[in-house]
Amino acid sequence: MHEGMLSVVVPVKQTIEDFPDLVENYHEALVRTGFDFEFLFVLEGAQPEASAYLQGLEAEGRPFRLFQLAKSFGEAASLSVGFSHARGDVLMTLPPTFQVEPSSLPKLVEALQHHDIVVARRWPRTDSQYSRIKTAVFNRMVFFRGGLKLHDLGCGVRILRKAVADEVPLYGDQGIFLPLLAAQKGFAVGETDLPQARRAPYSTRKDGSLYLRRLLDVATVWFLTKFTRKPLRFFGMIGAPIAVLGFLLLLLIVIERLFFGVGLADRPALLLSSLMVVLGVQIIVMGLIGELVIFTHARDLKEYQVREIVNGRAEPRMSSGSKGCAERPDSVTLSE
Amino acid sequence: MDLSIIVPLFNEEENIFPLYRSIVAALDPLAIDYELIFVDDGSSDATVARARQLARRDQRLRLVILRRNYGQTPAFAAGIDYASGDVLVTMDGDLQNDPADIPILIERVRAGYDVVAGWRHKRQDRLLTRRIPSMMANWVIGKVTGVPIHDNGCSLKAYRARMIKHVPLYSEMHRFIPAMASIAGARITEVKVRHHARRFGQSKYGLSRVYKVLMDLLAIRTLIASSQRPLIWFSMLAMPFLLLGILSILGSLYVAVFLGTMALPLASVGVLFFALVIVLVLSGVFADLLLHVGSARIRTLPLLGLEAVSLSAAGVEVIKKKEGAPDA
Repeated sequence: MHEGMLSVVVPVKQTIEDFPDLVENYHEALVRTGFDFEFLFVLEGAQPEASAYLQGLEAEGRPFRLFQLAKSFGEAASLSVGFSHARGDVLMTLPPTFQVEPSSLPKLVEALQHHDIVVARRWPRTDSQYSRIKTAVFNRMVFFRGGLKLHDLGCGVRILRKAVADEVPLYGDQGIFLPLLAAQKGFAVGETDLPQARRAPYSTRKDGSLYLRRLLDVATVWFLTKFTRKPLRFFGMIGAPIAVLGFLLLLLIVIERLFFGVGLADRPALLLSSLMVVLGVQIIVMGLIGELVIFTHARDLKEYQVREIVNGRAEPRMSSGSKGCAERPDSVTLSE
Repeated sequence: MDLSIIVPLFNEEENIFPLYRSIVAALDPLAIDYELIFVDDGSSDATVARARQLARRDQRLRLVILRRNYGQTPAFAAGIDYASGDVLVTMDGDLQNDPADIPILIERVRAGYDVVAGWRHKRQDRLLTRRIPSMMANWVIGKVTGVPIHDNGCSLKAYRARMIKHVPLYSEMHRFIPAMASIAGARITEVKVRHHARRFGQSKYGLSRVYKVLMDLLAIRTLIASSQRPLIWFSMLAMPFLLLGILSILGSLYVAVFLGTMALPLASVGVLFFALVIVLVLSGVFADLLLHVGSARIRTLPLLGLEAVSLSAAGVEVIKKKEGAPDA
């Protein structure tokens, strides 16, 4: 790993027309930062033109590295590939389209000084009012509650320290939630405004399923950040009210039969209330199974991250027989 | 290293110096090799700076600084992971516990117990809002987990390091550490400790907290029962529904035979409950599968009941405990 080296990961899902132009712009901007840097292009699926172009530049001696995936596995997968091969201790992700003015990238590098991960916010925007509203609504939804407030998760321009990439797991389609998951792990998350590129908007494919997927992603992240260690609380939240409601209804029907002489055996309400009890209990039992799953993996789930150890060892001391699995702290200080 | 004292600190700038002094004053006369582990749980005040001052002067003070505020259980877990003593003592950072009680706790660990829980028998809290809810909670926790401790909420506890380092601590488990330890076969006892009035801050027993504790209890009860025979535990859960199912079917037969009318809803309810019984029993089979695949069981349940290491003044001595023998 190179101290102070910047590894730039660019996941390329589809090549835009002025891709060479974009690459040149990115390259120029990074030269101006004065950092030692490398580019890691992750090509998602066969893209012969881009591949040939980048290989040409690589042959000229540019610090370019190419990775070819068999197909697109989502942004998160491509980022993981890039991160795991990166040589630098600072990582940057860039989108394969003009999302921000490439010339503003040095500002992003500067912003990392006080944070562990900084995401760009496209601002001022140059695109339509409609897309602005979409961005605002989506981000409001994600940051509905909680201390962290970001405005533009959809922007693919981010810079982060290697430690963040090492410790934050990326799930499938959830590259855009990287800052959220990083914040949950205790990293300092920042945001910086970069002007949106003044180019004609690209005709990206927009289907309804994208919105549905995003919505499900929001739900998944909510679940992951809140309930990973306590599945029963989540399932109980759904199952317990159903079961309790069904039980009360059942009780009411039985009381009516015993004391008020209302028939029991032929009442549809009986079937409904029993069904609710059964459903509720089944949901709760799913939560119990979830607890068992967590329990069997409890040794691998460290809930805390250590920033620094003073007067101590870097490694946690586990008893013989079990492997230490806590992450190393960021730094160890020994005072005299 | 004989002893590690683990103290999680969250914004305790006023308490840290008196705390340090009282711990050192309590332990120095004992002539044992000990360390202090202060775990900073993301404090935003001068706690870290003051702890650094102490650490510069005293090499026995280790400071573990966490990235942010995680809560009590992860802070304790961090302290336990980084501790190197044979006996670990945990306590609160807000001076409610008295370090003068530590020697008594260590004594009990040396006598052969794996977990020694403190019991604040003269609590300096309001009767109605804190002590009564806490008594009820402790009674329920004792009944459900089978570890009848009077004061689960007391942070002042001593553990044998070999045992506690194997007990998985996650979520908001610190309340249930003795119960979790009992899964691993720990021998548990409690001693009465002093309790000082809380200087500031109040925790509340709200409805959402009752829900959380109930759910956690159900989870822990399942873990304890399942660590032995998951199938039996899930089958027990199914028993009431089996009974309901049988009653419903019998009832519908009664209606059909003696009254001559069909009781379709009642019969369907019977079938429904039978279906639930099948699902529950199969869940038990599933749980069995989860717990017995690979090394999961060995790693989480080290079967400490078979052997206990005890510290004595002469050195380390091993007490062999025969299988099935009563606790020391």
